[in-house]
Amino acid sequence: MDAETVEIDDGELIRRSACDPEQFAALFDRYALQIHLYAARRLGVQTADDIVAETFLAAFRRRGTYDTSFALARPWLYGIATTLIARHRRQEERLLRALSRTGIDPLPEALDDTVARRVAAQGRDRELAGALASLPRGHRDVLLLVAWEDMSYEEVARALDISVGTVRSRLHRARKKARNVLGDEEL
Amino acid sequence: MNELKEFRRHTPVMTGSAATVAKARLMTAIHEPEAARESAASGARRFGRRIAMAAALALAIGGTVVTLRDQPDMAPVAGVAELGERAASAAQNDPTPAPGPAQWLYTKELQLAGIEADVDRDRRATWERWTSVDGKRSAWYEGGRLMFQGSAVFNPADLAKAPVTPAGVTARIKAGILDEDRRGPQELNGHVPPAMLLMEINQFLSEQWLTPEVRAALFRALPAIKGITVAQNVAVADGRRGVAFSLTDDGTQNSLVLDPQTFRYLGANSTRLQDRIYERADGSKEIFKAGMVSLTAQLEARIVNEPGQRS
Repeated sequence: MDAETVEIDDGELIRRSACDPEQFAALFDRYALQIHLYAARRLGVQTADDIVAETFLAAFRRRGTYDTSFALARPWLYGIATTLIARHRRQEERLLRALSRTGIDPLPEALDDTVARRVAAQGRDRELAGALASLPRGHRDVLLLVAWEDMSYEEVARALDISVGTVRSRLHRARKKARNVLGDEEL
Repeated sequence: MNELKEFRRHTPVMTGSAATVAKARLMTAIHEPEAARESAASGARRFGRRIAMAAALALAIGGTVVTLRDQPDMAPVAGVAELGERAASAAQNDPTPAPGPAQWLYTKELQLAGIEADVDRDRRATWERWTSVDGKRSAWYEGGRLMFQGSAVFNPADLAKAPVTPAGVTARIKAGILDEDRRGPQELNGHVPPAMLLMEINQFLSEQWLTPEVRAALFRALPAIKGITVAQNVAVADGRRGVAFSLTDDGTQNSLVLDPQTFRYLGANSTRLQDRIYERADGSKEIFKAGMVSLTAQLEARIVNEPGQRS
């Protein structure tokens, strides 16, 4: 990655990639790891490997539709990734239900933390997994983009191509449902 | 929100090798757009198999290898078209009265994944689900509580709109898949891979109440899917064997299995025909051997008045 590429924003990179497609590769360097982590937390690392690759392939093919006035492409890329994740909805829900049922998370974790985390999962993580599995997909998408990725309501709206009002209402309902299951006032 | 932020926070980061592979695919698309388009279609073909296999592998460990019973008196079906026709006739002649609009379909399924004759690698679980007759809600028990979830991907009422024909139901299912693709990954290029279509039909037949006309149309549609053949003596998760609509895709044979006498739905069978090696995040490798199976068996399927009821 050269110095100039680091300094220009995502929108400009995408605009330049119309004539010089290789410019688009810089977006991969900027966002691949974080999108992978997001996908891996939902579906496991192996599925996330494919989702990252397919996200950037889809983004590259669709770059002509990107509004380059948006400097940050992060919501756009997360939107594509989230749609790809949605196609694995049943897998995601079965993974969550397996954790909820057994206390053992089928997803691999970093080795150093495995023992402690697996013990902890006997408690609240089981309930949390059950609550997440019970949410409608669209509500789970909103909740996790806000909670895990620290996205603003506006960014989530852009990512999922829904209105900010819909983001608010989905988040409200998701939190309410999760509270009902968890009895957790903070959620 | 703090607990949620911590949930699975320690998931491993992307490995260098995985990033290299993913970026190489992007660079191929940048330099060779046509080759990348074919690669994306190949990814779509893998999709159905991955879901079936990964979902099965997520099951809690337990149980032992299943014992398969012989059924020597199986009625042979000459070809896939005949299988489709006989299954369709059985569906149309099903004497079960139509449920009311507020009723639910209760299904109980045994799921099994592993390598045949390898007890340590065999995993089983039973899964109960209630799906509303209108397809708008589903429910299951979680820790003693009944959990609910919203609508299905496809509205079954759309499939029942007259005229109900094999080509019509196929077209509607494909349109639903392509619509989702248009809003998302845009990798199908207007073409639904046969394995994906088989998986969707299997899902409908196993989890959703459908009118006899729609079930019959789906059975008559299956022989028209490219690559579908008939397979005899195919096992499902509880040891029963049946006659199957079968499709081999990317080294895996996927089968939708029916009772050889009544042609009722028995379950699904996914059998790996070639070895495949996956590298884990910690660098270790896992080999998915040829012969590895992912099976389901429908143990119960009946109409009930409320979610949570079993009879």
